Amino acid sequence: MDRLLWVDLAAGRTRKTRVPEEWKSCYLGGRGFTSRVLYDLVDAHVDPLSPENVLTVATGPLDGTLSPSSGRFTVGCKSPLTGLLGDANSGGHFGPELRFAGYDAVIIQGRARGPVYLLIDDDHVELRDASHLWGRGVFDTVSALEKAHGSDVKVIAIGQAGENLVPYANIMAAGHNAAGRTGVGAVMGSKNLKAIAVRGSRDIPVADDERFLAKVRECHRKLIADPTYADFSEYGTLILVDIAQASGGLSTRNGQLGLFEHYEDISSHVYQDTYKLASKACFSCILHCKNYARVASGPYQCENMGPEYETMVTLGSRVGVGSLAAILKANQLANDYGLDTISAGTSIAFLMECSQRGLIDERYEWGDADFVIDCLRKIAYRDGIGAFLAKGVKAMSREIPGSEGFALHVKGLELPAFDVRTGKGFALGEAVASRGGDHLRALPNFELLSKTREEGIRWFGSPDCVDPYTENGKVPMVIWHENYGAVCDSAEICKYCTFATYAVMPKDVADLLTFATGRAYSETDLLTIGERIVNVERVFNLRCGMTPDDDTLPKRFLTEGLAEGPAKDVTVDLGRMLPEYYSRRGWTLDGVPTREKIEALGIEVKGVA
Amino acid sequence: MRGVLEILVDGRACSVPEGTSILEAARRAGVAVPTLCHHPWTDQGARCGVCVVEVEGRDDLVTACDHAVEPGMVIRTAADRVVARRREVVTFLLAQHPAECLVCERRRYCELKTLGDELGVRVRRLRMRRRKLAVDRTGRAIVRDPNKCVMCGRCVAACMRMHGMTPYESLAAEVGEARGVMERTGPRGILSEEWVRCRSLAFEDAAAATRCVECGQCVAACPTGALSERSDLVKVRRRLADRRTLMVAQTAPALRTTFGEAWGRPPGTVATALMVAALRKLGFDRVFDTAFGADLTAVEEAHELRQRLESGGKLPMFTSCCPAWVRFVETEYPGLVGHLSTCKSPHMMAGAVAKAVIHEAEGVSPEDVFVVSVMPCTAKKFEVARTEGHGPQGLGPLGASDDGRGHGGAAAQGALRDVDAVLTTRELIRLVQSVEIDVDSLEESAFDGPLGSASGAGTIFGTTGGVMEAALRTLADELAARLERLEADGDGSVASGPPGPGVAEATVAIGHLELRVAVVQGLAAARQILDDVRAGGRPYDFVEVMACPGGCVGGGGQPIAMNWERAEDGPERLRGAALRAIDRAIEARCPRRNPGIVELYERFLGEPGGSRAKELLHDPVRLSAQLRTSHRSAGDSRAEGTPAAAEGSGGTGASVKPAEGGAR
Amino acid sequence: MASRYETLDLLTRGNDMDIRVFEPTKCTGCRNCELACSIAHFGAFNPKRARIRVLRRGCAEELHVCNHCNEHPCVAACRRGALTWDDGEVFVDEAACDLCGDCVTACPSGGIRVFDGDLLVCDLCHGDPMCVKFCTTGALVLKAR
Repeated sequence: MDRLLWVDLAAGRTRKTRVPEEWKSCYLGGRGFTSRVLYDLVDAHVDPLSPENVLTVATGPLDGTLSPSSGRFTVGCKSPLTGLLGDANSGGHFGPELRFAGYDAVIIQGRARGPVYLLIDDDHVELRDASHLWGRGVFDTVSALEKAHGSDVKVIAIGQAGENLVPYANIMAAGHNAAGRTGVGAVMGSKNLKAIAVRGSRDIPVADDERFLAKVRECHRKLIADPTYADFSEYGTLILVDIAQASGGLSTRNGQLGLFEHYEDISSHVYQDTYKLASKACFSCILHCKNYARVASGPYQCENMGPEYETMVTLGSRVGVGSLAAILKANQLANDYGLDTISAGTSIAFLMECSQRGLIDERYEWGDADFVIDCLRKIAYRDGIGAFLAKGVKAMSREIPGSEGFALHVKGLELPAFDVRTGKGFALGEAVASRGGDHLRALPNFELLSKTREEGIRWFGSPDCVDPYTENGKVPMVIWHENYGAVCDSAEICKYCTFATYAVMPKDVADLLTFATGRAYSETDLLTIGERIVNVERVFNLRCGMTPDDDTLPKRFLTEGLAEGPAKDVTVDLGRMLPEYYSRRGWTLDGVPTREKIEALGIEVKGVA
Repeated sequence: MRGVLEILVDGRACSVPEGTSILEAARRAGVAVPTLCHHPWTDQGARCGVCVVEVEGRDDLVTACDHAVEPGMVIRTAADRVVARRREVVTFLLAQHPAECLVCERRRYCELKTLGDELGVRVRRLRMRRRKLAVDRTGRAIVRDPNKCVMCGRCVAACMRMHGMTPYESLAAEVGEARGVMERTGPRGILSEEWVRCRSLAFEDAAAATRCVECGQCVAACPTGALSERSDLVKVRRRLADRRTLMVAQTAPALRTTFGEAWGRPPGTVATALMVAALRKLGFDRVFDTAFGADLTAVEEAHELRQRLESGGKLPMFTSCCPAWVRFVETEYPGLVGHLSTCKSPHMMAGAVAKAVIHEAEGVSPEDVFVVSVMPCTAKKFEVARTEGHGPQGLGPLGASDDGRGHGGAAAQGALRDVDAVLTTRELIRLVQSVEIDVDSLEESAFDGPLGSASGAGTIFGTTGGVMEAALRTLADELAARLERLEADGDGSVASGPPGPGVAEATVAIGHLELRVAVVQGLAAARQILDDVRAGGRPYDFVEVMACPGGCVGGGGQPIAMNWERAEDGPERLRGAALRAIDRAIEARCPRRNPGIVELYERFLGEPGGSRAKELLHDPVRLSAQLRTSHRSAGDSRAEGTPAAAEGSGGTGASVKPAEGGAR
Repeated sequence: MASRYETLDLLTRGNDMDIRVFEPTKCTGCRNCELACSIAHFGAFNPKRARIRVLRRGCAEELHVCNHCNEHPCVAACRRGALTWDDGEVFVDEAACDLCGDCVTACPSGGIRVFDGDLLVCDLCHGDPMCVKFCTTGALVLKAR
């Protein structure tokens, strides 16, 4: 631990440096590091698919310890999909292994002359020829690397989509966990880097064993006692399918509807009873929300972890597909090709709606599972319709007049499953998120959990913040979630511990970090770090050409109400939230962080108003 | 004439007698100077350097434990360089220490860890030391881990204090060598190869090859987990998980006034009901009182004493309930083994009876009964490993039929045992804490019959003088006479001294009998008496010997206090005094007045010293030794000693029914 | 890659000697047991130093830990006499062990390993196993009465 591994792919060399103290105290790790690297090293004009882009794989200071659900890692780069900040976060077991090898982060620059993979075995670091792997899917690649280097190596890899520079290609950890969004896989592919395989056998000590373990047990108890624990741990993220349908926001046919007629076929219970074999956990996690499933036979035969709720929607209800087996198959294919299911599914849904509305000549039927599956392959190879779909909805809609209103993206990143008309806090969060159309920056589940008005006042100063359908009182809640969310992403703690259950709170993370690192962190310190990261990302995006007009939502959510269900007729009024959001954040009316704010947060001033 | 000196300790004025150590003077001034190698029981110290203080006018820091105060001395106990020195010492010691605090049995009461925590020493990186030195598991009761030793020498001092011996000569020698290293190079010497070599050489003597009797006083004195009892928790836990086994727990008398300490009660608090409840919560099917076994012991021993007095048997007779003492006699005075009572110790008697009674009453085979004794003692682990249950075959002392690694050999493995496992008080506490039983919320519970009620006599077995007194009361009752102590004594007991090595003597009258009795603590004092006896003397008629200070209440298996927490007058005295208070409050002060005892003899055991009693309640080896020697020495025509043959000669017709009048 | 340990019947109810039971269907592969073991015995987190290992094989989780079995072939395999077994507990004489690895080969459960100059075998944490303490799914529990 405590080392950065710098990889110069052009020169074929690596070097190790210490993690700067300031990074640890001001940015923590994980997303804090990736954003900081982008801020320092990647200029506004850099073409994301050029060698000048920097790809950072970062872990957090709790990776590898017993800290609950703290085994995640973040991959950051300039996004080829949005042209803005890109990052993706993944679970699994890779992050801890990197730290056991002695590295907090790997910073990858340049482009290799031919396909390579990075092999890390404690101190031994090597760039190896990957021509025998190039062109192969993720599962094959992982399997080959485990065979070559031992079954205890942990691998992240791109599939054909990343090789072919699909703008929303992802990076897969062992084929089951996705660093999904913003096209990090394409950047890796553009560098001719096929995979990273790591084995770590070093020690990760903590400063105070006893207090750390006692704190871990306390967190375990709180998690298990939380009312949402039972369902999450039993069904995984798929419980959200049920919740979405119940709240009338199960995104159907590109968000035209919020209730899916085939919901009964894709509910969490059906999945549990038919194809699910076991619950699996990421490193050090007691929520074990991953589902391992198998379709034993037939045209959709497959075996894989997942799909997650996002995929169940974006490759399911959003494209009208109600065949559970087909969705499982699609999920596996997407994982193998290394494709972000949200962007892929939403792109396909967009195309289907264009067809439905007669904006294009081709007929693409809702619910055509085989078509969806075929699209995935085509996208990965940019073949035929796949070449078009690979552009993403923003670019596609530019070529199809009249489609802009239902191109479900923000800043070029396709929107995740959640229908923001069923949660105004989510709506605000997704309008301003630094990645673009992203629910995870804020993830204000607080407004969805039927909390009392008193709780609303106690937590965020407003009784209204607990009502998902109002814009009132949402801003402080969203800001707190964004700041604490950035802390979670930097400490690499899964947000199911913090924003699904509300079991692990900033004070708990502060304690965990203090007992682990020996450096005293307070709750305030952490929330400031979170705020700092949000601001750094904002400034970076502005440098890359983002404007305040980009803080918006697809017209569908601003002007069209849902036809039925609990959220019937609801639309989002961003104007009632955005000005207050900018103001509370200490930004100008145009959403630009002021100089005072930047300096107060200790961010180096670089090209800011 | 010794004067009184005025000194200043951290700005506080203080008057102390000439000759007082700085350490003691500070204590009187209300300042606790941390120590490590110094211990209240011992004079030794000045090895570790933890107790250093700053003395005005002196350049060097001064160790407080071994320097006397001088007139007008100005002492500062918390000066920066003092704290820095202490941190240095502790840092280096921790650096040489395995990082397994989380599983170490001393976790909650390790002085090194406590010092480290208090001084804020964080040596995580340095503590990544794996075990390099082999752990000595040759002993049957005590495990010795050199990797955790801090070379303080407290164990050597503890053994010397109570027993006047140094079974581990290399340890004593190397502690001195290590001291030399520290003197030459300061605290940094701890990191030197030389110091590590000293530590390695110190543990060259394997426990099984020494005269160590595993009384556990060294464990009680050790500041870390270097010395600990062999853990039987795994074995007990495994049996507890097996529903087919009937789990029996019995607790020594000393437990009832000790157990509560782990839950914040002061030493001497009677916590019997909570303890029984906790044992039930753990899953024990029966919870018996070893004090009932002690009542049996008192009956049998009184009867045996009477036999010897009346028919010229070996005198003085020595008690046999302390296994460390028994082992001592067997190894160093084998010719005097015949002077030991043939009685088993109370928990062995109770275990044997429990299995027999359960078999008779419930039809459960003794093989399916697992008896766990919770004892304040480490030596009892050795005791149960070497003896067996109902069979006549005996296992000899050390080496006779064990495999040399401290395990009972093939014969012992398969043989039926009176007691299947011994847990120390500490182990029970750990067990209860590990399953997170909230003791304070348990509903109180009482022992199970038929081994559930004890007389006052059985209860005081746990404290020095108690065994003696119990036996004498019983004898008096058997003879329908009064027990009178012929010299005045303050506390109303027959004979007992403050916890610590020594002998308390008394002369008592019981009816026509006048007996000289002695109550011994520690084997050093016992040795003197044995030497006398070996030379043909008979300084006493009846001698109680306990290896541990205060008797069993100060046993090697009891909760360990940090040395700086020990009052002058430690927990042993309070625990023991509480047992005596229980005794005074119980109606039946003699086992012959305990209805449970009376019933057991009538229904099951027959007569004291009778064949059934001999079979269950007396040690087969000592019994057959008795019979051989008595046959030879008596020169009569009695048949060769089998227990059955002894029946006719042993019986006096004395049953256990209480006699009229006599001792209560 | 196929495992040479064919049976998952490692600590399941068939084993008499261990005080733990392993329920494979409840194991999610979180590896908290490995972490608890290594921090407790070694003072750092490092699964490779753990005496208990969980290996994910497809859908299943394979547990490798000494279960203190009655057969204890490790003891017989050791040429140095460095291993003893006493009534359900395995003990290592560190000074006698030369890390030759014969015991590793002999063990049917993958329960004994050599790593970084240490012979690693479960000691049941003196009767209060840490792995059980940190298993929240009930995959590893103490045998109950």
